[in-house]
Amino acid sequence: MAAPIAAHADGIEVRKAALVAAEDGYFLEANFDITLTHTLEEALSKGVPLYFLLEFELIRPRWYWFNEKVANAQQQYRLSFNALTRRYRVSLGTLYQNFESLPEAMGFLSRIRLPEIAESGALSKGTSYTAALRLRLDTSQLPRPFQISAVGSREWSVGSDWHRWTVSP
Amino acid sequence: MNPGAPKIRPALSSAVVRYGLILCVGLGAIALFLLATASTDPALFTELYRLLLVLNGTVAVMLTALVLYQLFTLRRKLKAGVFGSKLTLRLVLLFALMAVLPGALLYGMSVQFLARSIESWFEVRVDKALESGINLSRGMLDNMLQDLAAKGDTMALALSTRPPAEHFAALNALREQSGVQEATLFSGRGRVLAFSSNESTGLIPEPPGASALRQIRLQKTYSAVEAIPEKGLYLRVLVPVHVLSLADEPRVLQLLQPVPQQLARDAEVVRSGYQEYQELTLSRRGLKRAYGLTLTLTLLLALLSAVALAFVLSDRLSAPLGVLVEGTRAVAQGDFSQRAAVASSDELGVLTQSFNSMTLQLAEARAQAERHQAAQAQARAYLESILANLSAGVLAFDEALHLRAANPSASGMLGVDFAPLIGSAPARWAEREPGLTELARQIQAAFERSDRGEWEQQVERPLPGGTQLLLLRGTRLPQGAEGGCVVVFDDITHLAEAQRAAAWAEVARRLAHEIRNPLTPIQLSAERLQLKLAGKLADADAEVLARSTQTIVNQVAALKGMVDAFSQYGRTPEPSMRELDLNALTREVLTLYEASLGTSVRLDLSPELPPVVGDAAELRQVIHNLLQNSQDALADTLEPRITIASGVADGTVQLTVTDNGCGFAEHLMQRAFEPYVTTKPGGTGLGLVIVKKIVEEHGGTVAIANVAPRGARVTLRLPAAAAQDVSRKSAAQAKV
Repeated sequence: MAAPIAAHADGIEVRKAALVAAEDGYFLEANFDITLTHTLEEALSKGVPLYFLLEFELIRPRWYWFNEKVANAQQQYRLSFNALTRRYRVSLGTLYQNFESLPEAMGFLSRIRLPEIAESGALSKGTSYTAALRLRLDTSQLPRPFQISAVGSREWSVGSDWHRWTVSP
Repeated sequence: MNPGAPKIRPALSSAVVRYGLILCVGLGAIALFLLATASTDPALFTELYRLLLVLNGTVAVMLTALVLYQLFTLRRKLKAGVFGSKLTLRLVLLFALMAVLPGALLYGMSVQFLARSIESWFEVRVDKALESGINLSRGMLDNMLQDLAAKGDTMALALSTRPPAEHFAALNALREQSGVQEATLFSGRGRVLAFSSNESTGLIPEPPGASALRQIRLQKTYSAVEAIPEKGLYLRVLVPVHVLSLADEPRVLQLLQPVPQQLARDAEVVRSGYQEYQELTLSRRGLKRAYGLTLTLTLLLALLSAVALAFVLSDRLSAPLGVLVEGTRAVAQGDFSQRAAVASSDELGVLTQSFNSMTLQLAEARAQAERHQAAQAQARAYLESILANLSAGVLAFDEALHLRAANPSASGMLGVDFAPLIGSAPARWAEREPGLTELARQIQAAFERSDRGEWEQQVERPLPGGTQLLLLRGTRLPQGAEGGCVVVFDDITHLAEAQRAAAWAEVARRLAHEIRNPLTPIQLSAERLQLKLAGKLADADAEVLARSTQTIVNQVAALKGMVDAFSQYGRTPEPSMRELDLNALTREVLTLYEASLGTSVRLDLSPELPPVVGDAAELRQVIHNLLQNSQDALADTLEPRITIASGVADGTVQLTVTDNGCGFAEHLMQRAFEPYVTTKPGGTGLGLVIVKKIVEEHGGTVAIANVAPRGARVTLRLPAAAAQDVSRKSAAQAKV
């Protein structure tokens, strides 16, 4: 179920993505190469939190009708730097983890495991499904003035393209 | 370019511009309002900013297109030379200048002010203060951490000197001693071995992070300040506890000490302030860009709207001029229709209204002039019709005696076409019309003689068939606008003849009466002398007596004949008119002359001669007289010949008597119809006079002429009875 490596994406690219079947259902495993631009790193070091949005879609293509959306998931990661404690923190909802350095935090972000994508019986055998995945900087969560700067700026729009692969359980 | 092109759809183009402008300005106002509102509302702003930019940009593009279209239209108008377009251009330039200059000034000031004010937020001192504040916090926290780490080292040393069994008890004592809030002893794998806390809340010990454990395995002290959500800042120190025996696993002492709340709060305030400041610093470029963009768009929309509005206003201002110039052109072409008044209370409105009232007055004046002209034309036509139907001839001259007009009667009477003579003086008429020589000379002379007032004169004008007698009355018109002279003349030939004839008839009647009375006694006396003395005288004397008596009787008889002729001329019996056949009448009269004329008479009578209405006796007399004349004229002719012809000519019955006798004497031709004009010895000179009188009584004419090589011809013309008859018959049929 390993997916082919995606074409080079600016800032973030999908290294590996797979839908893994487990006892309690399917979970997503994905590895990314994340390179923050200088502007983003500077903003982060000044205390601006960066939000990364992971989007996943699993669809069954249908030639006779609209494609069937089997499953979809969204996860938001918050990467922040505390100037007082000088720690990086990755938050996932209420959960968080502190890191001493940025590479550590990025390393954590690069290996993502999204559980409970679908139940065990949700995918029928012998059918082809198309999975799509992308991780991008959610500029809508940036403070307002940054959004204006982010409009049409490559420095601020960091994200992978949609990475698609075929899943056939 | 077609000069008429801009006129084709002016209404459409102006409507396009107007509605386009209203649409654009409305959209622009909405977009600008939204943009301004969004600038103060972060949520709305971020959502709509891009959309608003696009919307505003679209409106700006639309406005630009509108302005370009207006420019193009104006240029076309300028090229076509549409009146008022230059004024429109000037007004547009003025308006645009008035809009652009303050706008640009305001824009420049705003941009400058914006940049300055945004930059003024970020001062090096504030920057440094915040930086120092955070450093201060950090230093303080570090100090506390070092303090805690030192305590940890002491505790770890104390613990390491004791056997593990006592650790739990010792931990509590040591914690109490060093005044640490929470102390936990972990195994090397992270299992809690002993736990001591001064608070009931922290029953579950906070586990150390993976990185902390990694550092511990390297026998190093780990110390960190951690922000635990909902608990605030904590100092965490992990110290490895050295165990004496190798059998025991290594242990880790964790000390957890909360940063004093006041301190933590202050530190947090400093941190958040620093963060916000940094955020602002980072985002100032974006802010500047956003505000600058908003300002620029506002300026662009405002300026474009102003320029587009300037076009519309200029058009509106110069439109009345167009109306006026159109009106002026129309008036110049004679179109006095009213122009649409400009509904405006200013001078332009007054101007158009005045223009309209002016055209109204012009139209009225022209209508009056036309009415006047029509009245004049009617009067002239009336006058002309009177002149044309006047039986008298009228000649009008101007002051210099040049002919101005002549009526048809004048032409008819004189047998001359006056059209070529108009404009020429009478002295020059002879060049064109020799027949008018005498008349022209008389007119000229008469006007020269009587420089004032009227004159009256009779003029005789020789004609081929006789003399025309004209009575001329000249009048010099009163001096004025239409000065000049008028000559009115009548052909009084017939009147004069009639008067003369009447006079002769009276003379003849009296003469006949006076002469007839003594004639009978003279004749009777002569016969008595003859009767009484014939026997008494000697033969010779008796012979003389008889001859003399005979002479007297003969002369008396001749005298009686003459008196009869006179009395016949003078009397006017009532003619008995009836339809007659002129041929039959001619033959009847000819029988009387068969003996004397014999074979010299030739008849050429038309068999289809229509009858004439007349008195048989009188007409017989006419033929008789004519034949008598011819017979007399042929007395000295060797081969006498008389031709009597009848026929129809010009709707009249014509009878000609032609002979080859001595003809008329040339000097008598003109007076042939006057009494006592004769060439014959012993002629009374009444023959032709009687002929003419009778024929004219019958409505006919008599003409005489000499024929070549010798001889004379008399032509009678009498109206045919057929025409009258036919009309009478058809009228009768119509009545049936």
